[in-house]
Amino acid sequence: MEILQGVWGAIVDIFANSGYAFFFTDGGYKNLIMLLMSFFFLWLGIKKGFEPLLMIPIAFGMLLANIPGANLAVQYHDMQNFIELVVRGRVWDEVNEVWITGLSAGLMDFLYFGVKAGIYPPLIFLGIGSMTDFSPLIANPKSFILGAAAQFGIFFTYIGATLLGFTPQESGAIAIIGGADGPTAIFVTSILAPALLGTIAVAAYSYMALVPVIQPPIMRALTTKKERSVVMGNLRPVSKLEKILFPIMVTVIVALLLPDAGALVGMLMFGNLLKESGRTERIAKAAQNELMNIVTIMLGVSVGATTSAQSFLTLKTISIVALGLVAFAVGTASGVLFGKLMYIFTKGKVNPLIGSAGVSAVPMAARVSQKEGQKENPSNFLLMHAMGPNVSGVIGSAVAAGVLLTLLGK
Amino acid sequence: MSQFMLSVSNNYLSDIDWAQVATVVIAGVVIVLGVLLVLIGVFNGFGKLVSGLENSAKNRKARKEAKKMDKSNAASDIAVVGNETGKKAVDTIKPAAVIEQGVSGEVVAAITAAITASEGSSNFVIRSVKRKEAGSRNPWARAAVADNTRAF
Repeated sequence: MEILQGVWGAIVDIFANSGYAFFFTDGGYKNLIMLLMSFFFLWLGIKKGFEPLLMIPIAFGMLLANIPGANLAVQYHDMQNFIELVVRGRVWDEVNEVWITGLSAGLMDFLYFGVKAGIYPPLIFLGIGSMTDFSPLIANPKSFILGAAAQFGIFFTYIGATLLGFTPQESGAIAIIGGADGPTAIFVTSILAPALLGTIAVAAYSYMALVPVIQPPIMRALTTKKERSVVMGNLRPVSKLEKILFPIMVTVIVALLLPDAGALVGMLMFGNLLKESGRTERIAKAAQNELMNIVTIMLGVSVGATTSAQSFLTLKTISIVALGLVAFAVGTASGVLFGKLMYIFTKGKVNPLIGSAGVSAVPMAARVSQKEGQKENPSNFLLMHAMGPNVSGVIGSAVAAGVLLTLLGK
Repeated sequence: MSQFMLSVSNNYLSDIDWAQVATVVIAGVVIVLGVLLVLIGVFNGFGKLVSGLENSAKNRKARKEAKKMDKSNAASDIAVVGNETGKKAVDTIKPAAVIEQGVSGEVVAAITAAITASEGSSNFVIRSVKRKEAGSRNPWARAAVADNTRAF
């Protein structure tokens, strides 16, 4: 009898200390809601194909972070607290202004270090640069202006976020969603507003996947049939010398002006130089494949692990999601409107549809321009013309990130 | 009620540091535009410089190739006249092929080989090689774009 009672007691103890019991405690239902949300994002990534390479790790990180008692949620937001957590097992609670003690650093805390220290996003940019062909941009440098125009969405959203009561740093982090660049958004947010990182990353990647849905109505509303039917001339051939010197020159020009953008722009151009030099094929391939894949896994899962119930289930999340949509929409509109200006100044030689490709979701935004152009004229091939603004938008969003970090960074 | 809401919103709006907002927005737009305009200027100029250098290098190479072709054609004519007699000599003198400047000997050899392969014999004479404009659409570029957009 005593043995049976002992066994029963042990079973009850295990259940009382399990995550299942936590759901029934005060506030425990929020973890359950977050688990359901992680299932939803996994469905988006797997079934619907929404940016799966990052959505699936982020969603699974969200799932792990919200399993009670597993110690898989990221427990800090700044480097000082990381050191306190690892060395002394405590973090500073800014809200209640007390030390939370008795903690221990978990797997995600160490993986998240790469995000917090600004390591992962530049490494992903290294991989992106080694996969990007800047020839359409070199052949037609005027595309840079369309990449710049599409970044207006960032600054418009900054105003909107400020009006909704976010601090300047939070507004800057939310606004960078409009750059449509995941690594840039994560890089900026991890410095300006790390508490919002998970929400902003989920919003940024969700909207990037929705580019084929968000952009076409705006493009059609702002252009006429005649403008959409413009057939653009052939791009000039680009020499190997130009392709080799381009990344070196962009790095020097941009990083000298904005050192805070140096990490992102520098690694992007370094990756591109590895590809174009023709002498470093092995490491270019490693950057495109092994390095990119490993960093993507660690970045995605650690960013997802910051989405604890306390940080995600707030009114701020709804505001951030709405502002993200505004950022994308305004970026698309400003790119198309600049495209119309170029159409007027070039007397009809530039198709305004390529302006929307300045929203740097590479290459999805360029393909949207191609598809919309083909709807008006099936023999119209805008893809390579749209790739110019598309890749210049990557540079433009990195420059905008540098501006925000310079003006708002502590 | 509306006056209350107005006073609340006025207090809320006045709490915002509009100078800082304006600084970030205007500086951000100006700097992003400015940097990318600088890049446009640099790469426009750079593109023209590189194109100019490469064109002059190509022209120098084409002139060298043309000189070589002229020499070899003249040598074959002279050899035929020197070795053959009468009608046979006249029959074997082939008029030099007219090759457009900029077309190298290797390209002429490749064209000759392609025609030989498609015709199945080398019983022909190349009289001239000239560039033909492909019109507004390069067929190779068209094929590449079609390949890129197939899955979409």
